Amino acid sequence: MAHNHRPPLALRALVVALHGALALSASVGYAQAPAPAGQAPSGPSFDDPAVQELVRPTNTIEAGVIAVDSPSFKFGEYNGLHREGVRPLLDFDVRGGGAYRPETGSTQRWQVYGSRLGLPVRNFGGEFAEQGSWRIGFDYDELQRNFADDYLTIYRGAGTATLTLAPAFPGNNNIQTAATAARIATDSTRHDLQTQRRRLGLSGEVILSPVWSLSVGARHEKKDGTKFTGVAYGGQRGTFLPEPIDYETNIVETALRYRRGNDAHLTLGYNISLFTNRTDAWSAQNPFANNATFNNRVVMSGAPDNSMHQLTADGGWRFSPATKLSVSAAYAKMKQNEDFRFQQHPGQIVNNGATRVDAEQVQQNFLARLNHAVSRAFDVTGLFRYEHRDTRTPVGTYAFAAADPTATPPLAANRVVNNLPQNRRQSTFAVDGRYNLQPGSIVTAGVEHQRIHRSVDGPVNPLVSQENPFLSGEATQNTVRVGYRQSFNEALNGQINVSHSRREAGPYFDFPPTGTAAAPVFPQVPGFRQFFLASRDQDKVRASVDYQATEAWSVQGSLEYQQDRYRESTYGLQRSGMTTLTLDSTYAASDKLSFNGFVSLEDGETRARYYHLASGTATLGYTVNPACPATLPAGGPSGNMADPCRQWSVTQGDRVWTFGLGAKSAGHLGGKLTLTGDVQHSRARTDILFSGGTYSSARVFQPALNMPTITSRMTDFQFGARYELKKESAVRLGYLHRRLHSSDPQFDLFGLTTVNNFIGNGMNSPRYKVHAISVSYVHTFR
Amino acid sequence: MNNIRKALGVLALLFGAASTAPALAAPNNLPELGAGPAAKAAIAQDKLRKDAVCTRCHDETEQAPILSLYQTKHGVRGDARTPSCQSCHGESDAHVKAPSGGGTGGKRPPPDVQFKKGGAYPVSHDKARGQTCLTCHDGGNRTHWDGAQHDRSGVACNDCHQVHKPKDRMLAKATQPEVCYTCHKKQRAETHRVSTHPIDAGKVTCSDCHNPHGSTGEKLVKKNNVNETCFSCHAEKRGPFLWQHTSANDDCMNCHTPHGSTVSPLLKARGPWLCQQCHGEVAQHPGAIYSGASIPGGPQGAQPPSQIAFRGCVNCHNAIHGSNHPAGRSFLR
Repeated sequence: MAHNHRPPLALRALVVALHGALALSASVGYAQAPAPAGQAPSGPSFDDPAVQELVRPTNTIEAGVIAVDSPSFKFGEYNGLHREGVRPLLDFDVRGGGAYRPETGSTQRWQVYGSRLGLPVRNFGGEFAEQGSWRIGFDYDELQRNFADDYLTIYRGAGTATLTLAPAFPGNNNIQTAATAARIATDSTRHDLQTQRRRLGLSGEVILSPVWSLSVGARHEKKDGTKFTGVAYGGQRGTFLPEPIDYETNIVETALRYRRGNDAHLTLGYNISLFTNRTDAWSAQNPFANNATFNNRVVMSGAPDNSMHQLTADGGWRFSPATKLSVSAAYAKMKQNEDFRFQQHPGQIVNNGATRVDAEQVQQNFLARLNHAVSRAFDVTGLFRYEHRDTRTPVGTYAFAAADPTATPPLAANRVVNNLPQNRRQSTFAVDGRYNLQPGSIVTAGVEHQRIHRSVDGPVNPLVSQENPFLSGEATQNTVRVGYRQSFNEALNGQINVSHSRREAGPYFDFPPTGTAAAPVFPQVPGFRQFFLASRDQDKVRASVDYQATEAWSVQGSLEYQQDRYRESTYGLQRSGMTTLTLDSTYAASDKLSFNGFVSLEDGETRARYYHLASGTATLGYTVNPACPATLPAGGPSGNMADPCRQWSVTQGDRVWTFGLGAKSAGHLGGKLTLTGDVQHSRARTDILFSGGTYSSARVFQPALNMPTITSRMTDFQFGARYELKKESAVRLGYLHRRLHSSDPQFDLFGLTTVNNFIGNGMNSPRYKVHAISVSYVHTFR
Repeated sequence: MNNIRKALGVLALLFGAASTAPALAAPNNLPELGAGPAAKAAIAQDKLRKDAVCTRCHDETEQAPILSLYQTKHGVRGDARTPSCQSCHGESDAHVKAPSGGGTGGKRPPPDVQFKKGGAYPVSHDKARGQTCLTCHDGGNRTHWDGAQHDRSGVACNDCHQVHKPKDRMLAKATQPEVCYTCHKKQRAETHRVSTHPIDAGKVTCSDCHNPHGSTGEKLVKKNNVNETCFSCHAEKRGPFLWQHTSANDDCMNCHTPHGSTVSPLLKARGPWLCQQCHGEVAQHPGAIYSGASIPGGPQGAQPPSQIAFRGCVNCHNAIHGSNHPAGRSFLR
């Protein structure tokens, strides 16, 4: 048995930190050495309290409590305030070291800090440095992500890798059967879906010489909890489960830097990222009809352990004051060789009995950028970027029954498949120029050419049943962009940038019909295009105006527009776009009273078009739809791609308004009281609209109907007051009220047994009203 | 463990290379480092004398604090690498030598490089401001600054960084987004949506994903591409998997929008319609219509399909980023 005598990473990190601290303490006496006599500069006197106010750090310690009146996971999703009650608050930021006495020549600086220490989102750390020689630091950070507190599960053992049902659970494929529905209702218990992320970061740098330095950064991250995961049991039956999460990620990044004068630099780096999942597999008892083939349970694979090793080289050479070349290259190898975790079933083939796949992907990147100032008014940049992601996973043959069907699966030939490792290669060439027409007036223009090649590694003897997942393997994209900036004066500036790009997809493979000419059956609807492989036109506009109307009042407006059109996609995504308009303003009524406000509108739309063609239905009869005169002839055996009543489209429209208003007022009560207030309101609505329809299973035309509108309205009001008790102490009061009202038919309309083959989760779209009050004492010192 | 050994080996190699540094150190104009206390004190006094050219006037009485620079790393006077006032603002002879009380018109000529907008003098051209900083900060994260997006857009370092302030808002996780939102209003609006990264909570900030100084990837992402950037935190989705999902393997942004969404988790559109943007297969269920007709209350809502409920297709296809299960080709396991 192998033993590992190495101490854990955290312990080793602690040792490094202690060494650093010892080095620090050893240097204290040195750092406080007085300035040599007789060399006092003629600048500010560092003994002057007014100067010390500016050159010595202001340290703060803040302690208090925060009270929350009602629990809400959505309110406390990331802020640690998900429970009602009183929580401690503790923040501090303390800096020191001889370097804050510039006249001594000390280069020692240190800082320790902490924030929200009383909450499960705490952060603390420190940094110690002998500037110009070495630096070490650490940072600890927690993040509790509260996903849902209204989740109901029928499973016992939530949080573990073995999820079981209550004894004698009446497994039934139709969960709406009275006895089963009743048991689901009574067996469902609440489980908090949340994850806790703890991250320890260590960093250090050594300046080895005027030209060499070495830096190391390490991160150890642990994440555990439960995740909202849906699982299928075969026959399109399923439910949600609390998937156990127990991840660990370790990252080390090292960089050796070389710098020659002001004209050349080089950085060599080596990066490691290691991911470990302690939940290799997890299982759940089948809540539907008994399935002896799969031992009446499902076995799920956890995310596999994996690793990445990467070598990088970045350099820049300014070979004349007007010309700089920068180059980057990286080579990364990603590997994954986790044991397969599954239940063997009759007829299953797992790559000649392999127990793991030994997956590997190599990623190569290269970038060269040449920037040259032709004149004081004109500069030009050329760029070449190359990326190749080459998956080198061995190709194997697999045959399986997807989602554990109830019956012993007779594995048809089309269930025998190869894994097909995917590759992607992309090259980009770009030239951009910038020309100063006159002072304050600048034109930019650029062109870009991009080529993308996607492919898979097929087996030596391809299976006839297997298609290439990349229906179009090649794409080229050409982009033209122009911009204009005008600074009319110091108070008024504006700019506009416009770009148009055209992507040409290579030949797109349309499946030939697999049926006879009289009754064609298509694996995929002819004319359908997967959007990321399809030809596309993309237009972008970005414009803004800044106006400093008076010394006290400024206004800023902006527009962002993007529209993607898939011009060759008869079916599939047709267009997708978003327009964002914003208006911001600030107004300083006096030295002590200021306001700011903003409003933004986001208006987006995504439209897709389809032709509904169920497999093998072409020869069936239809009920004639009077609105579709083509139905009868089109419904015939050979022309089923011409039936307008099989066309349908879906349009998702998003419209989001966000408003914000803030004010700050200082100088009350003899200058001791400062008040702040902020209110923000956002309202979003998503409409999912349909046109067209298709035939129901009874061959009667059924129009598609719009989904109910999805909405969310959030209002956030914050009020703060700070009262200075003395120069070095203050009391802070805070009040926060936030309310969210949202509706989501995909959750709100579906209870535990609304779908007869899928057990629901009891969750609703989030709604809350939360008040929080905080009071704290702030002590400052130097 | 093998990986760790390899890593340590490479580290040792790097240290070894570094130890040969003196031999490789070609003549250059950088200051000598590692000086003792007395030497550092002398360096400090010399630098303070140079500073005094400016600080004899721009002292503690300045409305915008100048001397607070001494709280920053730039102000560590014993570090020979740190700049004096004139290193950044230029020698500014005309400004310095003008008679007390100003030159012609009662105002001194401007310094050579003026950074602050809205000050007494016109702000210098962004190239002049940017190159001042690049004199020292041209490597590391700034390697690709020249000609990158922000450089082309006329952004200079001090448009984002506050060099004289003890705490630069750009360098603090909680305050950095406010700086970026000054120009990137769309992203600010998106963070107010229902599904976001914990940006408002101060746990994720812009520079966790982007390198605003120029990067090797598109959209100024920190790593070489979007996926590699996402895997920095979401390493469980890196694989490589036995069964790769084409769109996920291609680009996370095919399905996700990272700054905020109306659809959790940060999706560009809702399921099942998002999935149907690629999956219009005839056989089985991907190509079927899931509309308001088949939700409870609709004409076909008596037995709604599971695909229109909850998370749509992901209700069952949970391993959507890729699967390592021998039966995971459809991302069900």
